[in-house]
Amino acid sequence: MAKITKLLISIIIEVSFLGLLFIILPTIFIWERPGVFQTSFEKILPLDINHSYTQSFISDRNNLNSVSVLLKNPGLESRDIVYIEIQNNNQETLRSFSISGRSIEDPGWLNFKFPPLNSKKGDIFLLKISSNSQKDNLLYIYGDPNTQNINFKTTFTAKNIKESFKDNLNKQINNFKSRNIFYSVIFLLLLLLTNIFILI
Amino acid sequence: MPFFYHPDIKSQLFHMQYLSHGVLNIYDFVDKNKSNLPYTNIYVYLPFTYYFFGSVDFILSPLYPNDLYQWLNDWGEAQNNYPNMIFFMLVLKIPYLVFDLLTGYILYKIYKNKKILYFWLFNPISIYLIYILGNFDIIPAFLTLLSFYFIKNNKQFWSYLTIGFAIALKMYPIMFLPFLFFYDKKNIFKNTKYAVFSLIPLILTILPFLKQKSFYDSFFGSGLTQKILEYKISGLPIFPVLFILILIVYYFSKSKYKFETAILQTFLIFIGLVNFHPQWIMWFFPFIIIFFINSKIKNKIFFIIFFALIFAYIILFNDNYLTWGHLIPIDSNFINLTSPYQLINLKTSINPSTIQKNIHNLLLLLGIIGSYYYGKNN
Repeated sequence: MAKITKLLISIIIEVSFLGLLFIILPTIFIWERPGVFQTSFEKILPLDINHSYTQSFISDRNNLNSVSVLLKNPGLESRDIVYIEIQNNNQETLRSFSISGRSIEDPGWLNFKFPPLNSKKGDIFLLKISSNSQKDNLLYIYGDPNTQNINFKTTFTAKNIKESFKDNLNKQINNFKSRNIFYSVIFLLLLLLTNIFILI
Repeated sequence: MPFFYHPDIKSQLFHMQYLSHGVLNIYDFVDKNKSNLPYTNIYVYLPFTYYFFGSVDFILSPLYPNDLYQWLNDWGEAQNNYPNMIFFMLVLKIPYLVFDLLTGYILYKIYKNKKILYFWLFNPISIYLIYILGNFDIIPAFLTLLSFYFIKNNKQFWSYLTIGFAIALKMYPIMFLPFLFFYDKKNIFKNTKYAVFSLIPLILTILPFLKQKSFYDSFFGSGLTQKILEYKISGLPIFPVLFILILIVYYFSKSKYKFETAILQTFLIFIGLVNFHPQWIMWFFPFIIIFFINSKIKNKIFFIIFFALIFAYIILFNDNYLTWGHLIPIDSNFINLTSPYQLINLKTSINPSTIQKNIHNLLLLLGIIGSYYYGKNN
């Protein structure tokens, strides 16, 4: 077989391998991706019948499918209930949950996963956290005492393989753009030179 | 090479970077600054490992992308979100590539067989151990192989000195020392004379730290000795007993491949008796591939089953960095995927650790049978 044919075959095999790694595997397996989040607050705020919190956020992807909040149950003592609601901009409840203090760590992220909403990028959501705790200082939430903003994380999910493919492609393009161009060129050159070297 | 990651490569380099900052006593440094360091685990390797990889870090540093040190010191939530991670892996694994090629070359020199060279370079197990797990065990493994090459060629001084450097990097090659010593029974006197060189690099490099508590705390934190002694029957640790048995058989063996056979036997029982880290397979691997290449189909099937079980054992650890986590350089969200351990927990009532333990027991059974078989036939 002519060397040039061998070179072409090996390049096709390598490109296919890269396609498998960068396109096929993430498209098939990664449907859920992290979205808008706020995790910088280190202070704790009381969470009880007199203290509830509403955090608004603008979704940066389609199909919201989970929210997480950072709570603290000192000494894991509280058994009181925490209520979480996700509302749209018109304050209509889209999803609601309640959880016993038994499941809250000291501290720990509490994740609420649900069937994806038919939401779009740019939709505004309200995340409402409240508790039936009568006593003060039993449950806490991490947030800013001045603005009453709280720490939260969200995830969004693709609803079908086409959306997953699109999300993955966007992610890879963004990664590629963020990468050091000098190293990208060197890497591709190395790949080509290794092929030529092996064939010679 | 650049597309796979395991946090070990980062945690090792995290400590090694301090040599470039002028830190000569890493044990003391970590002990005193533990609360201020972004990565709080202690340094568990030997002093020579620190100096060796600290120097490698210094040499490679001009090739590092700008944000490598930022990533190295980032142990927070964003630690996996570095698009340049692909290039970090590429540069950091260059030394492994060099030692991988050198290992292939020495294997070729020992067996004068191109098949073994190609097998070494392209088999999935070496690729997994060297480039996916990304641990530095390939370096002491190469030095141990080189030491074997020297002893085969009656270069006792170089053999012991080489394994000495391997021992100074990681303690495990000390297991191979008795096999080198009794390789040529006619040269026992010569061996006795030179064997001391196998401990000189270790002694010289640990000497300045012998009075330091932080050194002992770090050094005994790695746990190989405890793991080797873990499996006991009536209080008697089994691995050392079987190891001595293998050594006795080795001493009397006249086989052409007696060294490789003894290492294969040690490997087979080691895997079954020790709760091993996957990268530890590398210690034995260069010595056992000759059996795979030269063996008949039924023996090849034995090896394939044995390694498939090892693979199953590894993916059943409750550690996503041993499964999906390897693909973080491609997409950081891989780490959030359900691991086989979590999947079994979610979908069945079976405890995945029990399955893993059963696989380990099966490996022990196969290991003992294989060890006996290869001992008898070589």
